Amino acid sequence: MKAIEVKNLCKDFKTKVKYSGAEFWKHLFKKKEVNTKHAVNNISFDVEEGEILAFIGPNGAGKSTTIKMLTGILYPTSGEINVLGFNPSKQRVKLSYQIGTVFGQKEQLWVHLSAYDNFMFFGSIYDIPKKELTERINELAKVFEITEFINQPVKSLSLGQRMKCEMVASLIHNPKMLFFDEPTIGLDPIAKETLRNLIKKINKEFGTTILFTSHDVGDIEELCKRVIIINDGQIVLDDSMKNLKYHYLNKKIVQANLKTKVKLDKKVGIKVLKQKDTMYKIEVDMNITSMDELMKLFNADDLQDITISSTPLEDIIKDIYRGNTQTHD
Amino acid sequence: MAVKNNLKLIFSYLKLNLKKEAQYKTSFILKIVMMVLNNAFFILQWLIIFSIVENIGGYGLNELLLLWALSAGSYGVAHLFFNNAFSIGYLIYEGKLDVYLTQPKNLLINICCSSCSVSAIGDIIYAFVVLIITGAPWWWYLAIIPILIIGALIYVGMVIIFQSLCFYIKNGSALANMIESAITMFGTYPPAIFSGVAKFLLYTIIPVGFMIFIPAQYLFLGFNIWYMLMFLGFAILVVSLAFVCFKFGLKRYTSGSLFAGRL
Repeated sequence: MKAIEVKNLCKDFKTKVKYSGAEFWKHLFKKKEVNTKHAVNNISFDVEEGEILAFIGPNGAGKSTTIKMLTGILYPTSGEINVLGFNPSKQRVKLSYQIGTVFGQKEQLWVHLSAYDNFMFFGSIYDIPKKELTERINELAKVFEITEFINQPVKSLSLGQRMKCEMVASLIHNPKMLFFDEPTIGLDPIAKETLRNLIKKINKEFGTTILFTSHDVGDIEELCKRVIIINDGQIVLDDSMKNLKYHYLNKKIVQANLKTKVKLDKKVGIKVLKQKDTMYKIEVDMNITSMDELMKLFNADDLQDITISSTPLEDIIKDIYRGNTQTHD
Repeated sequence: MAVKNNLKLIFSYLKLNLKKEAQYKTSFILKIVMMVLNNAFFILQWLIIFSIVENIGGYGLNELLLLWALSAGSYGVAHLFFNNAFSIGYLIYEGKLDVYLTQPKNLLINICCSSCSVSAIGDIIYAFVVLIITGAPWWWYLAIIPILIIGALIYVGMVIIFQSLCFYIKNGSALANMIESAITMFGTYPPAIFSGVAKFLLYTIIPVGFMIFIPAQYLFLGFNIWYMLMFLGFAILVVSLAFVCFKFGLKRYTSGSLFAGRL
């Protein structure tokens, strides 16, 4: 069953043209030209129940705007949205009982109060009976390992601890679907790892559908089976992680240390990225040539050391953002 | 059911906010005491004036103090229960309504009662202190409670109507702030000194006429059904308009991407 169905979704923002310097005063009382920015431009996609989907893109691509439309925060300019059977802009209140949100850049907790007080309050917002709420808090506190600091004021917690508490707050009403907007922003690698494991756990133990945005490739690689890349308000890629890797990891990086110099420049599909004396860093396009062809250029006796690695996923995503890589059908 | 639900929400927020403020006990008590004293200083001002003149527009010291009680009390109730209504313009402009929009509650009520001003307790206490000082009859102590609540709703409603302009005009809270200041200022002067345009304004966009003058008449002259109906009717009108204006403007909400936290 589909948790989210989006058809031809658009969101436009209108802004007046701003002038700087002397032009500002010249145009102060004149009618200003209005620019329309297509923040989200005719996107369509589905999310299956129980799926973890990464919704990624560069800054200003339209990810947060899309999430805000899916959660009922923003009204779409046009298009259709169905989240768990609800239309977010018309049935916002009903939908909000079924979804949880964590915005990495916007805290929802009251920092002067303890996490426990916060959870009790959020529980009352969702009309959860007190007994049931206490049980739920205890259960989540165990899963998220926050029992130690649950009674401390939120302001005294580390960023990682706070994010855990933010997640617990978003799960207090046992939502069917979670929206995470950059949940790992600003966290250290250990805290990131912990949070990723928790996201996996939420998905596995509670069967929660998760849609999240992140700029961290590690999050995407570790958590999702499917990724949607959005740029300039349009979907440029909607594919499984497996396919993404298969189709785009077609370049290998070879780092070789030779005894003598060799000529590599003229070979098609082989590009020398860096050379220092007899140390070479070479990119091999596996669609054009093969590793065998490269090896033929080396004298086996000359090889002192060699490492072969795939292009980092981060570079591939950067290329897709820049439009350097052809998206496949 | 909806009324019960919203009342529950209002009191949950109040409890949470008071708990938050009470983390710093001395500051909590000081804020309340200072507000009572701040209001009390104005009694001195009027004592001096009334030592020179016998009455102003038919109002003696006791009647004037009653206006103060109604004005400070309504202001207090508004800022104790609905303090965030006075920041709606800022929240719209900065795109900070997101958290409220993801919660299953009436949006406007959820926003308005999510913060409270502790010093407002001082204003409410002051209203009752004035009744004691002026030797008010016992039933005034009871009658003033619904009057302050309805007065606060008129005040908050009018502020929301003007704060909602921020959906259309960037950083457009200036007018709302002006109305807010005018309400606190004009409500403490005898109604008879206002006439013409000023009187018209005081019974429309600066609604102290309905908030304070009419209930004051009701307390001075005894129960009058017409005064009561006017008072109630105007409150319903303003609050309904506030909901309509806010709901209408919300379609233009653009959110924001600033880092933000709830303090």
